[in-house]
Amino acid sequence: MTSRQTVPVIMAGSRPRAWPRSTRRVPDVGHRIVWRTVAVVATFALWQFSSAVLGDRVVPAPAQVFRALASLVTTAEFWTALLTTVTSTLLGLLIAVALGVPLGLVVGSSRFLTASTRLSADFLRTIPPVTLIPLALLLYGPSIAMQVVLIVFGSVWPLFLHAIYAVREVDPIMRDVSAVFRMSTWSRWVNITLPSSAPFLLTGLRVASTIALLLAVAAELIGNAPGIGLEIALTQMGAQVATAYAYVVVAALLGVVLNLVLAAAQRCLLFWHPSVRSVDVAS
Amino acid sequence: MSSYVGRLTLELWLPVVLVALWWFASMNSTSAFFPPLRRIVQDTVDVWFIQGHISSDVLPSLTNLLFGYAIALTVGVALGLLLGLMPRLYDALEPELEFLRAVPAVAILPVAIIAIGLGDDMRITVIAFGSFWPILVNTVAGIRSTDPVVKDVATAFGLRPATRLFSVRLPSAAPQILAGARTALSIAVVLILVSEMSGAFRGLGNFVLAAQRNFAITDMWSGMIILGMLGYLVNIIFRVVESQILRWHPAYREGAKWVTSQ
Repeated sequence: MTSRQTVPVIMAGSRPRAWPRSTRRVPDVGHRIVWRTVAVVATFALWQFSSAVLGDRVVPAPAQVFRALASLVTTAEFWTALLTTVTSTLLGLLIAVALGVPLGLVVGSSRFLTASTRLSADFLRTIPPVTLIPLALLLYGPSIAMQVVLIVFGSVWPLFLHAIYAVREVDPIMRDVSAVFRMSTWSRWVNITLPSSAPFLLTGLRVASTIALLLAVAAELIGNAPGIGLEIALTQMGAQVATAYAYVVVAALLGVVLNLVLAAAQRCLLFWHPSVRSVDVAS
Repeated sequence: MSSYVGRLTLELWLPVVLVALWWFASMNSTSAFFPPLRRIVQDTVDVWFIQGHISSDVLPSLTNLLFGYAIALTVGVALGLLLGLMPRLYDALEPELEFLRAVPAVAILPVAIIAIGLGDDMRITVIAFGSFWPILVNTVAGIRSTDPVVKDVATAFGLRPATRLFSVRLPSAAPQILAGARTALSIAVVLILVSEMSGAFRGLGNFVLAAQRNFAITDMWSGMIILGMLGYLVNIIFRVVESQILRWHPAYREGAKWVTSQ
């Protein structure tokens, strides 16, 4: 695991701040392994203890959950459910990116459009996305289409808003220089706007991906679309408590993997950016 | 004055056009799924204000939301302070925290139903659990990123630990804590609705889903409108509170930055 330095939230208008210096003494690797092991052991002890106190019909013991998990991974339903959830989450995200980013970039580069869309976007993005579950169910039934509509509606806003913000934050000097050098519109977009927007867009993508996974599971749980959420609901109703917990563990792992992949993507794509170069960033 | 009016028209024309478009496009609609907007509006007034579903469905939802969110805020900020000031402890617990944070909060709903049952305390627990993580993580990050110079100055001036904590570290972490609190709030709203959609007999989430299942489509639309307005209202309240708390902050004094609010 890496040491984490937090990067200050980049705020509009604030002057660029120096990245935090690492004055903190980073505990050395040996100590860290010892303490993390202690923490893991303590966590499992606590889990075991609460299972003993509350009864394993409420909180199954770790061993039970892992046994359930082990037998789950040998079944086809498990992999189908996992694949379905992953597919619909990624599909929804993809559509949200394809809609939100170009629209946001265009809207952000015009003062008129930014001012005109502000109120509508502000209203639409505060509508809790799950509000749409009944409507989507009505139109598409318990299906992946329903799920994808929901995910797109929920995760398009962070992408759209970050894209607007990104375009507006392009360094004015860069913009002037590109005008003076008479760069073509195309080259201005490719060489200046897009690279300087990239950090914001990736932040938007990370926010959007969390929302997408949450909504995917919600659509499965409430709307009975196939996937992990539905399996959790079914095992709960069937009183297979340990299996339900095992599915929750899987859902969490899915979230962890999604986070790690996007963090890695951020590092790869932004290798040139000061936030990645100076410190090991993970925020 | 005229520039004020100009700005207002600039911001308002699109919403007005959209609503008008909806109104006229749906005026003669015979589709069962998309009733005329006029009927939806009538129905909204009827169901929510005349029949009193505001007090029977909206209030319980809001109360649960408030309780769960308040718990998450209190515990999240307190634990975040603790972990932010004890980097060793945070470092040791980090894998567990990262794991728990990654749980899509709605996934714990069925488990919470098994463990706690279908009452309001289950809903409050789920909301508190789901909205706790963004607050915790942002508080830790905010506390740890206090400007070292500010820290040194506080030490050099011989401030007492309590003063240092509450007058230096906490305010300097406030923007980030509030960013977390905002994320947490939208998660909390989703969670209250989802929790009401599965196994509740009242509440907004239950109303909307039940209306859909009974093919009371106009009622469903009216519930969605109320939900949209509530979401907007909650957001505005949050923004007012935030701007009060961050009055001193330079980035805030320059004027509202609506786009940063995600």
